[in-house]
Formats: sequence, structure tokens, C-alpha cells
Amino acid sequence: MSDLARENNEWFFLLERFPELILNEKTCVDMPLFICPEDQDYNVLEVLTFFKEHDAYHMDYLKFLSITDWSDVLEVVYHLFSYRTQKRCLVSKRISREGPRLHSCSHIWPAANWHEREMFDLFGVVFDGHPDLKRILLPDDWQGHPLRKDYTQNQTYNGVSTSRTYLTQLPSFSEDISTKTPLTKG
Amino acid sequence: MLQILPSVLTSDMIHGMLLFGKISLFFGLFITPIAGFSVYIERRLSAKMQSRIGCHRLGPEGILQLVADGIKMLCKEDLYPRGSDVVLFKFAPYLVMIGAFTSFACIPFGDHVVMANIDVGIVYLLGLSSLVVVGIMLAGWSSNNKWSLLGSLRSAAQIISYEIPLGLTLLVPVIITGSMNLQAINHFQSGGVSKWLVFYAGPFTIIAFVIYFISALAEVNRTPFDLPEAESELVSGFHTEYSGMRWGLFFVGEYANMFLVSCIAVTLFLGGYQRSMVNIAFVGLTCFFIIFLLLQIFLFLPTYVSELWKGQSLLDVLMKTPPQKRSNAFKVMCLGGAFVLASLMYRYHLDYHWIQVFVFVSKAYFLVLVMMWLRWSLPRYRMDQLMDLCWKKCIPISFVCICGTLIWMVVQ
Amino acid sequence: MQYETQMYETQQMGDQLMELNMGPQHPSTHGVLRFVIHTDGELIKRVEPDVGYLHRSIEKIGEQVTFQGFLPYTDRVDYVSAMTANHAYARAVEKLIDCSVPKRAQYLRMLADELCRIASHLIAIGTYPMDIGAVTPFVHALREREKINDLMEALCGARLTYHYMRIGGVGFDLPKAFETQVHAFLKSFYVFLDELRPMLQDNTIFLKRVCHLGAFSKEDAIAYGIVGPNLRATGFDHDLRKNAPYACYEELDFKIPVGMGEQGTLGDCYDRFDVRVKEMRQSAYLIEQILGQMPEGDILGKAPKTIRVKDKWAYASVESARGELGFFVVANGQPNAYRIKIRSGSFAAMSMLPVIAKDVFLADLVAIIASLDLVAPEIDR
Repeated sequence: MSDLARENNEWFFLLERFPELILNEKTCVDMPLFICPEDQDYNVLEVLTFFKEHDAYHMDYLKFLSITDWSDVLEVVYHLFSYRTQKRCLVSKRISREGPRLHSCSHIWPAANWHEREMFDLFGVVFDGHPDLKRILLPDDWQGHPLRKDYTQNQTYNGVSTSRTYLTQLPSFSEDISTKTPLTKG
Repeated sequence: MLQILPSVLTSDMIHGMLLFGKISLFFGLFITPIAGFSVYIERRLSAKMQSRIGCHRLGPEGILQLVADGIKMLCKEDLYPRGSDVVLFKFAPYLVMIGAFTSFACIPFGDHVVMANIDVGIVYLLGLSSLVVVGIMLAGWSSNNKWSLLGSLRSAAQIISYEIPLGLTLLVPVIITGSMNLQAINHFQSGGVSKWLVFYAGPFTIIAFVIYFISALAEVNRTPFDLPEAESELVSGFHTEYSGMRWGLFFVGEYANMFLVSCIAVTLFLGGYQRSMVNIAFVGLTCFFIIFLLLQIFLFLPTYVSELWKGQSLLDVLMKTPPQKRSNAFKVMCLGGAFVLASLMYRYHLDYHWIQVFVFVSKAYFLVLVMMWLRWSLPRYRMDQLMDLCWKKCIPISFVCICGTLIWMVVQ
Repeated sequence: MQYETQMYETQQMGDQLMELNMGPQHPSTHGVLRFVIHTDGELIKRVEPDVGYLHRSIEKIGEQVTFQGFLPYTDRVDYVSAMTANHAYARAVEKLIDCSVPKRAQYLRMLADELCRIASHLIAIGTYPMDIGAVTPFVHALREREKINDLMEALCGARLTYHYMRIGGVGFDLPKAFETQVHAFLKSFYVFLDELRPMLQDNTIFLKRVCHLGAFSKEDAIAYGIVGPNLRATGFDHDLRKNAPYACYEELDFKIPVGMGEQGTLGDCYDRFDVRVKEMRQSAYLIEQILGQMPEGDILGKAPKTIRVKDKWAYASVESARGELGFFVVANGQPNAYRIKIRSGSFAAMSMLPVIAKDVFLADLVAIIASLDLVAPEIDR
């Protein structure tokens, strides 16, 4: 970046400290997205701690922590906001789908505690260093991680059937939806 | 007559059986209907305070609802939780009822209308109210339920603590009249409203009455002291696991207890059954409600009879006849008639026993209505705040009342 | 600042504590929530919330139905104030497709939001005294909410799950004589608000139960992600309607009520209650302004029948009754969303509960839960 660009860029300090982050302003509508490099050992915690503690950003509010299941990777997205500077951004990291692990950031923001539990519950991502990682929304003895794209439900749960036969056929979305019949039959 | 009876029965035994019969009739036909009626009044009163109507469907103005509820409770399955101590579980409601009901034995409803004119009536009352605590603790323990246990322990702590200011403030009339006999206390208060014990010693007896009322609320587990049966935390506290008639016994026991403490308050502070203008006004108001209700039933009768004649079943007639709205003029006429009747009774010195009973019951019932009013307006105290209120505020104030009354008596 | 990950003391204290289960069916848990409580007699040493009884996998359903078809599901995310949920999702999708919403539709959306906010706060301030013991204010509050339900029924046909907003605008215009009905409602509503003060806020027993209870500081609240009236009660005046205005809020004039610690500590249960009461009054003023300034025009902007957007994400949030309710939508070129993530205020409030409710009495736990205004559907989705 040229000197002029450096001075006008509000993310100057971040990109100077972590030049490997890619700033993407097109994917998310009016919010900058910082993409972390894809190698497994990259320490996202450093980036997050920098966001929290640097004076120019002071991102004291973790709005949510979401995961999207692309068919080859899982993409973890942190949405950060600062009350003081009114800046907001997304930080994204792609992790592998087999045995996904990530460092927990609940010591940076206690809000992350339950969000990470939810992501463990629904996607199976294990957060190292989390104080109490167990299922939160589903029962403790549930098998599988539902929000994954390749999730198939067990036929029974504790002896009770989990399917309703007339809803197993869902319409495909390859054509225009307006010509299709309604979702449920009868 | 006695010759035809078997020789095993002696006259003492007959006397005992007649007495037993009298007492059962008293409880069955007098106290239990009052308790049942209190339930109905509570529902209508709370509804009035909350801008809704309350139960008004079954029977005229909904009065047959209590009969329906009673029948429903009798028909329910007799459940007891697994793991509970069945003997204690079944025995607990009876203890609560015994504690409440037998205390009525010494309360005078009229000049000679008292079952047992005990010379130490006040001690008898205090002793029996402690039986209620045992019943509640048995209920909570035997339910095999941690929440019930919590509720019963809270209740036990509360009742035992509040018995102290109760006893202390009960001492105030004893000091003034010099006797623990409830009839004697009543006779002391004859001769008009100014002779009521609550106005005897200036502010001290008034404060004593207020402290007594607060302690009585705590004894009966009514809001603002109803933490043991706090609906939002413990479902129903110590009577969560009870269903059907067993719960009905607790319920009736609670309302009978409410009536009991009001009766005691009226006897000791508010003039008992003594006849006076103000008392007769109470009688007039009670008469108004009774006349109004009777007229509703009377004016309903043609509709009921004609419906039954057409072939409808009794249940249908009772449930589907819509409530009649009576005009304000009608209500005012009933009220006026009631007051005319009441003032005639005062003018012509109608001192029959029944008017005294009527005076007494109407005054006690007014206090019951105040208790209901408080229940639906106030939030409840937390346990430690309740205890704080008792030990740090009620007890010192009752001591002050006793000393103040003594000083007042010496000075006058 | 680092936050220590806490090991609960119970594991050090052994089995001296009584374990209680405040189960999913309970008269005072707001919705279907479960708490496992370890108490030392009446003092609570540890509360562990167990959520998930109302989990309906709404986020997964969002991946199966179209963008427009998901709107009725957003009602069920927070059925106590459903309009705001509709609004948030509609804004997120409108950001994706870059659709502009006409001015009248914006005003109608604001009107619906504020009516919903009043309705939701009525439930909050009605159930709160009920959990403390005073049953009567609940009935009075529901009486007012009935009138709002009638207004909503006139507006969009439903009393609880409205599905009023559409992608690009709203579904229905104002019916005839709606404004007179709203003004009649507001007249009685101000009377109700004035009655609250002597009934509850000046009542000694209520104050004793509520003050100095469950207080947390502004920094703790921000760190745990608390939003909405819970955050404003700690003295921090952040409101999305003022700080990040959406839907023409910048044209209206209103104040943000903030907790002042006038009775008890700053940020305690009394402040949360007080903030909600004041917010209702501000919402009533807002409704009057909205009705006065309502412009003419369309109620629905131009939005495509089938929404296909490739490789775009959008996040939009509105200030719902419980704080910031946000929808994060990931689109992948299909008519249905690829991933929808819902961010609600009650989730964060629930996660903070084990921290606040330490060394309080059992009765206080109920009061704290009620003061945080948790609704289970928002937590579990």
C-alpha cells in the first residue's frame, strides 16, 4: 500500500500488524470481512486479541460467532463491534471438516462461551480451552451435528421414531419455485 | 325412653354422643360452608380488583361453583407420590384441620353461644395453632419432594417466629381485662364502640391490633407472607403433591384458619359480639348481600322451573341460564331495606342470640375480606425480610405496646 | 482484560449442597427453561441453565425454504414481539438484493415495531411482579396487551405471529379508522402507566425485593454481549434506533431511557424494570409521531419473485424489545438461503445468569430471571 493509502485506511494498524489478512469488502454488504489464511496452525486468537485491545479498534462486543458449512471446509465467522469507535467487522477462518478444532476465545469475550457451545453442538467444532464444552441446544445424548450439510438423522432417538413419512420428499429448487406445488401434502 | 336402649349405654355416653353430634353439625354446617364461601368470595373479589368477572356461571352469580368443586375433589384419584411416607402423608392434612377447627371451641359467638367456656382460652388458642406447624412439616417431609420440603420448612420457621408477636399482642387485652376467659373479655367491651379494647389505651392498643393482624397473616400463610405456598417458585409449596380431597382439606383448613384468626381479633380487640350502632351497620351490609343473593335465587326460580318443565336436565339449567343483571335501583332498594331492618333491630333492642352471632360473624368476615384484599394487592416478602420484620420490628413494637398499655392503665 | 475461566466452587465443596431442579415446567420460568440449582439451604451457590427445550432448528429450516418463505418462521423466533423479528430478516434480505423500501412502508414498519415493543414490555412488566407475588399488575398489563392484539388483528389479521413484513415493504396497509383506535388505546395506556408508579414502584415490599439485586456493571454487560434494556439499565445509552438508525428513525424525536440507580444499585433489577416502563412511554410518543407524519405512497418496493444472489452475505439487526435481534444471511445463488444465523438478546442474558445469581436466595433467583426478560424461543430458536 502507498503511504497515502496507509494514512487514510482505517484498518491500517491491523493490516500492518497482520499483513497476511485479506480485506474483502464485496462479500458482505457494507461490512468489511477479514479473511485469515487457511493453514491449520494459524492463530486466530492473536488477531482477535489485537482487535479487542488495540486503542484504534477496541472491539469490546462480540456479536456472534457463526459457522457456514461449505462442502469442503467449514468457515468460522466472528462479528465484532466496538461501542467506542462504532467500527464493525467480520473475521473469517476456514477450517477443515474432518476433526475441526479451534482455539476458544471465551477468555477474551465471555460472550463467546455459549456461542462456542452452540457451534460445537450444531457443527461439531471442538474449541480448545473452553471451560465447559458440552451440548447446549440438543440433548446431551444426541448423535450427530445437525447443521452440517451431510447430516442425516438417526431413525430413532431413545426408542422413539424421528421421522414423519409424508415429509421425507422435499421439492428440489432447480426450477422457478412459483410453479411448484406446496411443501406439505394433505 | 331410656328403658328401650341397651343397658350398655349410660346417660354419660348419650350426653357425649349428643355433644359430638352438636360439634359435628357446627363444623359441617357452619365453619366449612364459611370456608367454602370464602373461596367463592375470594374469586369474585380478586376478579373485581383485576377488571374481570370471576366465576359467575354455575348457579345464580356462580354460587354453586363450590358445590361443583367439592364434588370434583371427591371424585379424584387418591394419589400419593412414590417413595413418600404414606402414613404421614395421609395424616398431615388432618393435623392442620384439627389445629384450625378445634380452636373454634372456645370462641364465644354470643352470650351463651360458646362450646367450651375455657378459663384460659387464650393459652388454649396459642397451643392449638402450633399443631398446624406440625401438620405442615409432616406434609412437606412426607411428599418426597425437595420443593415441598423447602416450602414446609419456610412455613414452619415463619409460623413459629410469628407466634411470638402474636402471643405478646394477645397479652394486651389480657392485661386490660385481667382475665384470659374470652367471654369475660367480651363482657368487658359492652356499651358501644368507645368501649372496644382497640380504643382503650390510645395508640398502644391500636398498634397492638395492627401487629396482631400482621402476625395473623403470617400464621395463616397469606400474602404478603405466603412464601411457603409461593406459586411462582414452589408451585404450591408443601401441598404440591396433594390432590383431590386431601388438598381440599388443606384448602378448607387454610380458610378456616383465616376465619379463626379474624374471630380472635374481633373478640379481643373489636368488641366481640356486643351490639352497637356500628356493629349493626355491619349487619346491615351483610344482610344486603344475603338479601340480594336470595332475591336473585327467588327471581331465578320461575326461569329454572319453566326450563325444567320443558324437559331440560338440572345440570343444563344450572349451567346455561345466563346471569341476570340487576339494575342499580334494585341494588339500592335492597341496601336501603337492609339498613332499615338493621336499625329497627337496634331500636327495639333485639338481643336474641342470633343477632349477636350475626354481628360477630359479619365483623370477623370483614377482616377476612381485608386479608383477601391484601393478598391481591401486595407482593410477597422474601424469607429473610420476613424474619427481619418479625424479630427486629414486630417483637420490639409489641413489647412497647405492652409497656405502654400498662403505663396508660396506671395513669388513667 | 482477561476473563478467568471459572471452576465452580461446588466441585470443591463436595456433597454439602442440595441439588434442585427447577424443571422445564414451572409457573415462573419464562417459557420452557430448566435450571439445575445447587443450594446451601436457601442460598444458591450455583445455577446452571439448561436450554434447548424449545429448539425447533429454525436455522436449518431456513436452508430448506425460500427467502420469502422463511418470513413466517421469523415470527416464531420471538413470538412475544414478532414484528421486530420480521423486520430484521426483511432488512437482511433487502441488503442482499439491494432493494429500496418506500417511505410509507418504513413508517408502517416503525409503527408495527413500536406497538410490538409496548406489547412485549407489557408482558415483561406484568410477569415480573407476578413472580414476586403481586398477581394483579399482570392482569392489568394483559388487559392493555389485549387492546394491542386487537389493533394488530385489524392491521394484519393475526394476534400473535403476524407475518406482516414482506421483502421490500409490508404486507397490508392501514385499515379504516386505525388511527382513532390507536389514539383511544394510547389514552387508556397513559392511564395505566401512571397507575404503575403507586402500585409497584413506590411499594415498599416491591422495592425491598427488587433493589440491589442482580446488579452488574456496564463493562461486564458489554463483555457478555448483553443488549437492549438490560444494557441500558446499567447506565449505557446505546440504542440501535439512535446509534445506527434504520427505517426513518432519524426523523423522529425520542429519548433513550437509561438506568439511573435511583433506588438501589445501578444496573439492578429495579433499574431494568424502570427502563422498560420508561421505554413504553417513549414508544407511545413515537407512535403518536409516526401517525402524525405518515407519508403517502406504496407499501411494497420492487423485489424479485425468486431471489438469486451469488456469494453474498448480509447482516441486519433491529432494536427489538429484548435488544439487538440480528439475522446473518449467506446466499449462494439458490432461491433459498445457504445459512441463516440468528443473534438474539436473550441468549446472551441467559449466559450471564450463572454469574449474576450467586449467593442469592431462591426467591431472588426467580426475580432475577424475570427481570432479564428472557423468552425461551429466542434462546433456543
